[in-house]
Parts: sequence; structure tokens; C-alpha cells
Amino acid sequence: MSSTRAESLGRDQRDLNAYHDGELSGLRRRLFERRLSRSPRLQAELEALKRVSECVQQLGPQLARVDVWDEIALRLPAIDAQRQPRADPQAWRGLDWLADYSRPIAAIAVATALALALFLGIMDDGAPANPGMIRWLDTGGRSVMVLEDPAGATIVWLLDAPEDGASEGESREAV
Amino acid sequence: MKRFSFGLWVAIVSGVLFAGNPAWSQAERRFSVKVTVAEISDSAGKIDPRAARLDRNLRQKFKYNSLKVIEERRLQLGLDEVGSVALPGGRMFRVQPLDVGERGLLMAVGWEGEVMMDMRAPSNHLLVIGGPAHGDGQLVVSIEPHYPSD
Repeated sequence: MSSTRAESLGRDQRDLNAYHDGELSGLRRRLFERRLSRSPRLQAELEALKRVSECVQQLGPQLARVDVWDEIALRLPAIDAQRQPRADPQAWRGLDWLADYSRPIAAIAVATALALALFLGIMDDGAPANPGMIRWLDTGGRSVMVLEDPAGATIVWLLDAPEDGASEGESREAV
Repeated sequence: MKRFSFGLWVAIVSGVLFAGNPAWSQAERRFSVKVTVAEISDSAGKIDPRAARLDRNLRQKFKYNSLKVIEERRLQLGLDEVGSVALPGGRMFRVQPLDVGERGLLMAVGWEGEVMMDMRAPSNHLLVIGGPAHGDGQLVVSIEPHYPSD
């Protein structure tokens, strides 16, 4: 009995969503409307669905702002730098079989680490290609000029006065 | 062939990994950040010898006749610690080391209302922020991080 009731509820939910989205037609639509008129539960769910839909539509223009992700992406490196990596002990559950292979794995890990260290040591010429790197820049709407000197200097020059009414959210620039 | 114990393997792997990624000790590191607040102007005047390096770099890009040091501070900061230097007009210049890696020290620098930025710079790199009007010239702030390499 309970499985039949569950199936009925699932079918009601599917039909309700389809009806709300205008995807029910013909006989199925008329049958569902008859069930809807007799069921206060379905009527309440349909009302709730409409409210959610209205809320989503109201949020639509904010979601469509193209610069939201840019603002977040520009802040990510600094946030990543502040975040400390944490080991998750749960992640090692079910990997007990690794204990049998721990010695060969350890040997491979050591060899890989040494090879990597040697490779990086050979590849690193001691002088980074871009010594000063600007990760994020907010000038409050002002134009800015960035000058890199290979001798080890970076000059950030603000070119004009802040615009009246320029808000912080509108004035982010990446370099 | 003699067999190594599991503990020895763990010690070797840990040693290699820690040697390549000394993040556990970074939180206790201190960084010296020299902050120089100066004014450049077309008016006749001297070049302050305390800002000789700043002058060498600025002179290649801009024309001015005088460079006056208003304030010079050497801040000793740990990671996430904020250092402040007073600017003319009551504003505060702030610098905050965020992270240190092979490519330098990541710092948040700037002063509100003008410019805020995150920048990674190796030790002894000169970062100059300038342009705002001050007196009959322009305000210039230079930042130089100094710290021993790993």
C-alpha cells in the first residue's frame, strides 16, 4: 500500500511541475485539473511553486550581472592564499588496502619528489620572468597606469581624480 | 637485502615533502616592509637622498624637479598583520602580508578612497603607488619588502 501511495505522490509531483510549466496538454491536463480542484494539498503546492517561481524571476536581473563573477574571481587568489589546507581523515576510510603497498608507494613518492626537485632545480634560472605581479586592483573608478621595470620595480600611477558617485562595486579593474 | 622499516619510509617522505613546502613555519615568519611617503613636484628643490632608489626608478618615467620624503617607516609584520603609515590629509596607508611563496610576498596594500591592491613581490622589489595630487605636486608611496629567502 505504502509503495502505491508513494508512486501516486510522485506522479502528482511530476504532473504538478508539468502543469505549472505549461507542459500538460489535452486529456492529461483536464484530468490533472480535476484532481487539483479536489485536492487542497495540490492547490497549496501549486501556490508554493508559483511563489518560488516569482522569487526566482525577481532575482533574475541580479544573476545576469556580468561583472559578479569577475569581482569574485579577482579576489580568489588572495582568499586562497589565506586559506590553510586541512587534512580530512574521512577521506582515508576504505583505503586500508593501501597499507599493504605502503613501502613501494613510499619509494615511488620519494623517487618522484627527488626527480621533481632536480627538474625544478634545473629549470629554475633564479630570476622570475615577472618579478612583481598585481593580483587585484581597485582604484575607485580612476584610470591607472601600471609600469613594470625589469630591474625590480613596479609603478602604479593613478591618472585622474575619482569620478563623483563612483561606487566601489563599479570600479574594479584587473591588471 | 636489508628491509627498511615503515617508520623510516614515513620519515623520508615527510622530510622531502616538508622541505619542499615549509608552510608550517610561515605563520611565524616576520617580514620587513619599508614604506616611504614622498612628494614629487615641478618646483625647484632637492632630491632627498633617502629616496635615491625611488628617484632612480621614477625619473625614467616622469619629469619632476624635487622629491621630498614626508615619512619613512620600516614595518616588521607577520602574515595577516596590518601595518599602517599616516598619509597627509589624515588618511592611513595600510600594508598586510598575506602569503609568501617562491614568487614572492603577497601583500594587500593601499589606502581607502584612492587605491587598494593585492600584489606579489619578491624580496627587495620596489612597488610605487603615486599620482594623487598633494600640495603643488603629487603624492608617491613606495613599498619595499625585505625578507630572507627560504
